[in-house]
Parts: sequence; C-alpha cells; structure tokens
Amino acid sequence: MNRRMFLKGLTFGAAGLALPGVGSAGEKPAAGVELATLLDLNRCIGCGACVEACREANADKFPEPKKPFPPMVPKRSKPEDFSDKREERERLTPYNWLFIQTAEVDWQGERRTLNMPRRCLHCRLPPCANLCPWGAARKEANGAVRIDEGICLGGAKCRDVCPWSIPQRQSGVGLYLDLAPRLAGNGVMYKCDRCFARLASGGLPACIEACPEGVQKIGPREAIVAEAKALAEATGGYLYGLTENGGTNTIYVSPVPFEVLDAAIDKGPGKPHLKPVAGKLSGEKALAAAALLAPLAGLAAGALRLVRAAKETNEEVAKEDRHE
Amino acid sequence: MSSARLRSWEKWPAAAAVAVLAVSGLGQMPIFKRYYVADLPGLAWTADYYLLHTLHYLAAVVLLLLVTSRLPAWLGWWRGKPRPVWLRLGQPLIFLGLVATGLARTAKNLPEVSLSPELVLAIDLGHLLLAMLFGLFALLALTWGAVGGKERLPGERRTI
Repeated sequence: MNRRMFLKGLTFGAAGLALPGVGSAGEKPAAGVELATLLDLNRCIGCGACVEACREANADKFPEPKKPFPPMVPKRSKPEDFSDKREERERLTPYNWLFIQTAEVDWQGERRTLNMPRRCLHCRLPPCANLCPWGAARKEANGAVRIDEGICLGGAKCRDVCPWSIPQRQSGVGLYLDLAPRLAGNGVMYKCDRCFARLASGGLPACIEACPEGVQKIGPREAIVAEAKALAEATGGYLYGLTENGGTNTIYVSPVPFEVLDAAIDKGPGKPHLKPVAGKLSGEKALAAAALLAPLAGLAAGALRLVRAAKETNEEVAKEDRHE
Repeated sequence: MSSARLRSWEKWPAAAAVAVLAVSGLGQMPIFKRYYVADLPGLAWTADYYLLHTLHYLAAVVLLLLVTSRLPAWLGWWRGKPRPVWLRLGQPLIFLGLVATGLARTAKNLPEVSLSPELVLAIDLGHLLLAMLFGLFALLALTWGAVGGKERLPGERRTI
C-alpha cells in the first residue's frame, strides 16, 4: 500500500470503514503531522490481544524499582508499588498501559456487552504536559503525549490534573532517588506513549498491529476525525474523545451513548470514567495572548510616557527662554 | 524626565503580583499538599493546580505591564545609583531572563507549538533558578545599605 492509498483509505468514509487498521507497517507518516486514533467499539471482542501486545512491546520500559523504598517525609506520602502486581490486567498500572473496560448495558431493548480498550487519550491541550513543572511530560509534534522516565520525579501532578487520572506511579525508581528521595518526588509516572519508536520507524503502535478485529486505526487527525464522524453517522453511533478536554487524539465510536456506558463500567484508581469533560485548559490561548502581549503594551505605554515627558520639558524650556 | 520608578499606586499591584507569582510558581510543584500547607484553613486553593496556573498567568500580565511601562525610562536612570554594577545590572537581567523563560513556556503550552524535550527542561529549570535569583537579588537590593554595602544617596528612597 503506498502513501496515497493509505490516505485515501482514511478519507473514504464507509469504504474506509471496512479497512482493518488503516495504516500498515512500513507506512511512515510525515514528521510533524498530528496523528489520531479511531476506536470502533462495534468491533472490539475484548480478546485482550492489544493488552498483551502493549505489554510485550513496552516491557523494556517497565520499571525495575530498588527496594526497600526510601522512607518518605512527611509520613502521609506513601510509596506506590505495583512491582508485585505485574500481572494485573484489569486496570492501568505502571506495567499495564492499556486495559479492556467492559460494560454490560440494556440499550434499546437489547442486552449488549461492549469492550473498550482504555489508555491515555493523548489530549491536544494536555494538562499533564502543560502543567508538569519539570518538563518531564510533553506533547510531541505528532500529537503523542509522553512522559520522560529519565526526568520524571513522580510527584503525580500529571495524574492529579488528568481528567481521567491516567498516569500511574511506581516508587523506588527514577531521578528522585539521586536528588532528595525522602523530601521530594516519589518515583516515575507511566502511561501509553503511543509506541513512539515504532511509529518513528514506520511501524504501528503495538495494540493496533495486534488487533485481530481492526478495532483501532491511526492516521492524520483530520482524516481520522472525518472518518469517526462518518462512522458515527452511518451506524447511528456516539463519539467520545473528539471534544473531551478540548479535544483528544483518541476518538471512540460506540453504538451506545457514553453516559450509559459510564454508568455500567467499573470505575476507580486506574479505571477511568467516560463522563463528558470540559476543556480544562480552554482559556489557555487567551491567557497566553495576554502574557505575550503584555510586555509589548507596557513598552509602548512607557515609550509614549517618555515622549510626553520630553515634550513637556521642551515646552518648559521654551517658556523659560521666552521669559528671558 | 519621566520617572523610571513605579508610581506609588503602581507599587502595591506590582508587589502583589510578585507575591502571587512566587506562591503560584512554587505551587506548580506538588509540594503544598504534601507538606500540609493546603490543609491550613483557607489555603486549600494552594493545591488547586488549575487555579495556580491561571493566577500565575494573570499576575505575570500585571507585572509585565507595570514593569515594561517603566523600562524605557529605566534605561536612562540606573547609571547614577549607589549600588554596585552587578546588582544594578543583575536585577533587570534576571527579570528579563524570567520573562523570556516564562513566555517561552507560555508559547510551549499552546497546542500548535512543540519544543524539544531538552529545551523544555532547560526553560523550566532556568525559570525556577531565575525565580530564586530574583528573590535573592531583590533582598540584596532592598538591604544593601543595611548589610554593609554603600549607603543610599541623600534623599534616595528605598524602593520595592
């Protein structure tokens, strides 16, 4: 499949919908193009192949903590340890960046079971990256949001500000051990990085590649959004992730409204909700514009003030000259 | 000649903006909750990261407007001051560095902007370091006469 066919497949509405995972291995998206994923929940059978593929592909990134953990000050700060629960697959953990959330619902007189691969949604205005005080979490040009495990101190601010509390902490690992482990930091935060290395080398994220049902697709955001809308329209489906938190690069299409799914799923730590999410940083652009314009406005006002003062001085001198 | 100093009505908003910047800047690190500050009555907001983020931006706008409006006049003012050159020049240079790193971080936070991880880290750490230096230099400038430095000129007022 050449590049043109790849893009064509993405934009071809219903015809494109039949394709199982539009991008194929070997297709390398142009650098800097914002990519998004589409998850068609009609297709997901909950087999867990994506979960296993994710674990395998990212195994070398999983933490190997040093124990015992440094004692924390103050005592309310507790270490978080999943290293003995590495087999956990029913929630997000530092060792499980993707899990299947299942909802059994009655919808339009029919009992339905829906499975949803859940992971980081890769927000367009990611609070985790924009509010990380340390530069450890960041959004890349292709829209992926990553946490750098070499820099992260594990303060978990990213989890606190994430509308879905996605990043998960493992203590006893990372830079904080070399700084002030008792006083600051508490490990490293982990989450889906959308298989950045595989994408960069022309491959697909492991979860997409492994899916036998073609639940997920990845491609340029514009095309993915168009396809998600077309799919929702064609199937009478509902969208999640398109506008949530100001827009994300993960768009779910479901045959059942998400409020119905949200009511049916098991929620809690590592098990994100499906509620509507208003843009947490929607005022960011206005604030940024004000901050960027303030120095210019101030300088202009100061220059005007100087000119006015110089004019007044000149007038006074002229007045004094006339008196003489 | 227009004064390089803030007028008296401008000083309190400027001081308040610096205080808000210091608190909201420190609060960008997850420390107020960990160290019980947010548990104190009336201080729960110090653990609200979104509020701190907005406050930091708004206070920066106020301070930038006030200080930059005096910058053209300041350029012709600082020469005759009784403080050593490193202090006279250090303060505005640190301030400029703070503004530059702050605005760079502001730009980086926009959805269309993507900077390299090394640059983002340098901006963040630079901003933190400069903020600490800013506080140190402000203290030095304020107390220069009192700690053995040259006395203020006759009639010169201590400024914030």
